[in-house]
Amino acid sequence: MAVQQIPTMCLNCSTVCGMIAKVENGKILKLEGNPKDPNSRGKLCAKGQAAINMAEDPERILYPMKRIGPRASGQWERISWDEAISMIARRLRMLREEGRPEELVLLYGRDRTNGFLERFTDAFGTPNKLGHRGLCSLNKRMAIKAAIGETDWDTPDLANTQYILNFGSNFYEAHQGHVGMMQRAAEAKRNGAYMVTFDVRLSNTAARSDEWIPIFPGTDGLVALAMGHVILKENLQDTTFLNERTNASIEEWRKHYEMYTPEWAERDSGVPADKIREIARGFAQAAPRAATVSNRGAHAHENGFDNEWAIICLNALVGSIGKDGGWKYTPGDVNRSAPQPGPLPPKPAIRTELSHPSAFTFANEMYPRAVSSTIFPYISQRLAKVDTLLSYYVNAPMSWPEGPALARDVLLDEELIPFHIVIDAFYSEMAETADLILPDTTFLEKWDLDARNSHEYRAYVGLRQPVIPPPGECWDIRDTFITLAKSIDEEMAQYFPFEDAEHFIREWAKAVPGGLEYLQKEGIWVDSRPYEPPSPTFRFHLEQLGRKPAYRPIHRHAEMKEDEYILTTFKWNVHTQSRTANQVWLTEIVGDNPCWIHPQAAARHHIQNGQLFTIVRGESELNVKAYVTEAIHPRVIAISASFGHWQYGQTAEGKGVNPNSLIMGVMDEVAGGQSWNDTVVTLKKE
Amino acid sequence: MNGNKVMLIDLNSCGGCHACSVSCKAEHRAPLEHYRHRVQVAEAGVFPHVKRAFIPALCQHCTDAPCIQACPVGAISRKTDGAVIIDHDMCVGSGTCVSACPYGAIYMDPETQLASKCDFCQDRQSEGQEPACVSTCPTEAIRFGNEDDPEIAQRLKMGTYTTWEPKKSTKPLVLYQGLDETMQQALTRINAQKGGV
Repeated sequence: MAVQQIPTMCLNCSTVCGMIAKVENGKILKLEGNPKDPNSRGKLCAKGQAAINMAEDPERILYPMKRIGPRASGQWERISWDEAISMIARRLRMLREEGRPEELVLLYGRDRTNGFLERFTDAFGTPNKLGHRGLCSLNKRMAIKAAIGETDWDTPDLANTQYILNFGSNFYEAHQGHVGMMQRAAEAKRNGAYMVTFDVRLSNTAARSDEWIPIFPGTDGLVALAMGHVILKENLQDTTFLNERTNASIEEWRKHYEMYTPEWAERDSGVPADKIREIARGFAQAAPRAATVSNRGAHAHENGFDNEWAIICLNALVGSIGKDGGWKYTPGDVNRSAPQPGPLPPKPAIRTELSHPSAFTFANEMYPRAVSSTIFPYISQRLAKVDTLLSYYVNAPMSWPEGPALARDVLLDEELIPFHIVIDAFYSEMAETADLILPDTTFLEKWDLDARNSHEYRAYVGLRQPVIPPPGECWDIRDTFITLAKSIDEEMAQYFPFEDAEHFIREWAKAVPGGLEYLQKEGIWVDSRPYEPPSPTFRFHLEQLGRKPAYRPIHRHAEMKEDEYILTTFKWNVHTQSRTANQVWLTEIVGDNPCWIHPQAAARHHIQNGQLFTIVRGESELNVKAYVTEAIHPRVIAISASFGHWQYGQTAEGKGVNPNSLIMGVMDEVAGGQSWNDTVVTLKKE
Repeated sequence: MNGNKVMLIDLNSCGGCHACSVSCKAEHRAPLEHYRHRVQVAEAGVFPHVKRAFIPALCQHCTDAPCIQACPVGAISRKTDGAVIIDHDMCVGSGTCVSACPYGAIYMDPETQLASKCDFCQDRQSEGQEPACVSTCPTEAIRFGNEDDPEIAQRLKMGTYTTWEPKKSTKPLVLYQGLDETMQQALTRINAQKGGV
């Protein structure tokens, strides 16, 4: 049989690059980039290349399984899909009949069905479709949405820029725009662009920058405000933009920035005042071909929303918003180009403490169902009642704050979570705690229409299609939900008039010229019309908060003693948060996560490179191996994600540690995003 | 074009992402912990003036190739386009080439017991495709082509591309831009060897 070339879309991370699978006799020979993808332009990263390992993992879950011992005892009995579906349908039907549909909680990690999961929860009547957004980009998305309204994600025009001002983003290794951004940044740098990266650690992005500027955690916003101070003081701003396109006058901008002197910023951030001036001038001089980039390093803090907001304001100050080489954006939802086929169920009116935690009024208004760190503490404190937890493509014990302790404890408690269904392709730390496991396909065996915010500023629609048949009895997630909806009751079934996943996608793809046939052949349809961004008023003053971007110092940092450190986390270029440690071609490159520590800190605690030591936070301790390096801020230690598995198959198990065991669920009180990079710890030699 | 095919690696653009290495693994299925292509990392400096560089490392396709000399059965030869190729039908698995290679670019395949290394993706080239590492590189840091090709020739003319070990050079066809002395010192053999690095 000849080698087939089947276009599809990657999902080994959330960048969703177009790919072409070379397949022979049902086996994937190679995955290559699809040149038609406007973002990745035919390139694939290491993770994309290694996705073959994911599909071929010999320890995949192949059949529905029912728990027969205590939770997490590892005792399972294989059952049929019929039995599994009728068991779930009976339970869920009861919740609807008894008028408590909100006791179904659907928790997902990565949902690229782009609306299908929500179709199910909406039809069911539960608002509790909960994701990991609050653990990821919520503070940033809230700030973008609040400032410009049109979208919640930026795609700075890196390819055409002359100045990349990066606050804590590691887009050379991770980030939703990873491949598209790194190739454009490299192009810009070849054309003479200057790149500055603020980070506590020399990430590969920092290493590729013209300057790496170590910064004290949580002070990015202060530095950005001080840069604004310099720009206004030295009259380098775009006055017309400020007066005409923002909701404040130049006088108001000046007045607000007056107090944020570079000297103040230096005291808290450690960045020299003159360096702040120099960068502010360089950025302003390059404008409008000047853009900020920012992500986790800047916003995964208690004050993350304001950090991000202050950073975005720099683009407004120099008038680079929407300009070539400046800070641009496009909507990223594939449904804008290709609306899902109806009939769509109404949105449930009910709200719960899980979907709309009352402590986060601004987040609930701007971005409902996105505060994630509250989920397990709230269930534990019985602030929300759960009957059935339906977990899809999520590994909470690995990826939630205090995951290995708090999240796992809640998941093991049959009073708090009476029934737990896990849909996954792998026996994850989440699957371990299930009562019932449904075998999921990997992305190489499933259907989706997908897209991301375009770096070419053109809408596009990509197809994810099965390139190999699913092994065993693994089902496409849409097949699972279609079957389940039809089995629950007729009212639910009316929203799922589809035979199967392929039928749904065929209907959906009719929104694209040429329909499914075109997409199956080409992989991606690109709208030839360029996206014309509306010119919204940039909101420098937020009515809802009654204020402008501010520096909110992190008190536990200000009170730190000399022998205390801030624990931060990061991602490697060859791994994602908790789903790649089973992929042998990646784990052979990075298969451990020792703790990065500066030589001064190591010397103070008599820690030598490669030696074990203990990190202490309250009652929690974690034994780690030291990686002594000059490439980290002396007041910071850093441990990568991706390791510390006690399940997920023999390739993953027993490698490294999980830093989340030390990190508590602490959120930005404004936006609700998790503060991953603020945990104060002490160190102890073994 | 009669000239050699060369690989030009721009270290100023390389982001160290390992896409090249894993693409190579997928293409050729080198056994675990054996590499035809591997990205090395070199770090130097004192906080906060720390630099890190990434160096994609593979068979250097030497014009004066020690492996060709070392092979007792003449299984390694150079093609007319310069690529150094192991003929697996002739290879007897003596392993002499493995120790002869100054770059550690050759490994013994534990399954076939034959010597193996980068062949500039002869199979892909015969289908008109670029080598796997070249085609996937997100930053286009790796270029491949005939030295007479105008784009390649122009890059070579800049005089900024050097070889891995210029002092005791085996005249590689893999050339690097931005490979300074510190980085050269940090480079190690691609495949570890008993008693080696």
